[in-house]
Amino acid sequence: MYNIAKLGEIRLQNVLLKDKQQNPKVILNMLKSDLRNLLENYMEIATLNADIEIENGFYKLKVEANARQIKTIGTLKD
Amino acid sequence: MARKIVVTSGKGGVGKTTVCANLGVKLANLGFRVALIDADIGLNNLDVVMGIENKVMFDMSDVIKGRCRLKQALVQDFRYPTLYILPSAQLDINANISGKDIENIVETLSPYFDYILIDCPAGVDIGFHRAVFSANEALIVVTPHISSIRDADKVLSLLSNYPLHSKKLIVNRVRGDMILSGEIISIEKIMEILGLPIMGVIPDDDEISTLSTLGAFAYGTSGSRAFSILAENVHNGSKKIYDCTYKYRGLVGVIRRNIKRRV
Ligand SMILES: Nc1ncnc2c1ncn2[C@@H]1O[C@H](COP(=O)(O)OP(=O)(O)OP(=O)(O)O)[C@@H](O)[C@H]1O
Ligand SMILES: [Mg+2]
Repeated sequence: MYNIAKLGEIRLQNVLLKDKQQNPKVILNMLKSDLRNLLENYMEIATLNADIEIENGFYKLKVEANARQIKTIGTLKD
Repeated sequence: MARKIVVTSGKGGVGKTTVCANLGVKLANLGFRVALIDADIGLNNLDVVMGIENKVMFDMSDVIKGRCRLKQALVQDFRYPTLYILPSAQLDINANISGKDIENIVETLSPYFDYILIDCPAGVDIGFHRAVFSANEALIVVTPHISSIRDADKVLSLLSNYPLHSKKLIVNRVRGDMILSGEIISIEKIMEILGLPIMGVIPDDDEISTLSTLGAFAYGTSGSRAFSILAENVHNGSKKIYDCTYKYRGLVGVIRRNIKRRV
């Protein structure tokens, strides 16, 4: 049977996906800068890349960071 | 201390004011002290839906600007003595009311009430933020339509900026006949897509709109039963769901469905 509800669900999921795709661009740069600041409390960050993908209606955050040194416990800031 | 619940949606006309009014009535009916705050400044309707528009002497902006005391602006419902309504600014739409102003009112009322329900305006601009500011729980009203669910999704992302300890869904205007014929998105799917637990389901009931024109509530109707269940869920955390399809099952139900389809 031609299922209108199912069709509605698919259209809804498509518009929500499009809406979700708008957000990451704005927020990603802020997030990268905050992440770098946070991580630098613990290690010396050489490179940091972050990306947001959308999977099954969820944002999936992927962060890849390379650190030259991990700070020694006891020298960490409060 | 009162529970402070904002009723919001993003999309206009999905039933925020209807939910506020009817939930308020049902909670008062259970014996709770309830304050309804109309935070829809300029497009206020809660007074009309509650049928108290002729009793309004002062409103929220009078309280905030110090032109009257809070007690003077609260209107007591004529059916339920524990139910009070604070009308929103009517004339003074540019009154520059802030979220903090509403929070002051809510905090002043809090020791005297069990529930404070805040009727949020449509949209996601300043009026929305002003209404959400003082709440610690949110009820998000949607109808089973794509545009309403999409707006609710946007609202949810804005609500994540607020320290709300509960966000739950109310699906309003559900047509049992259309659920059975697979013509509307199911409640379960809406919950899944928005990632929200359900607080209540309200059927599409012509009597709700007819009676609210008269400032009266739907007693003995399916809408009334659904709001009673909603009030129970809100109060004791039960998870009962009103079954909008029951009227349309069986032989009589099939006849009803066919009649509904023709009108
Ligand atoms: N379950 C329902 N069955 C039938 N009619 C309903 C139902 N819920 C709401 N309505 C009707 O829909 C209309 C809009 O409802 P309401 O004013 O509560 O929406 P709202 O979300 O507060 O709107 P706004 O965004 O303009 O403030 C009203 O005429 C109301 O009577
Ligand atoms: Mg309204």
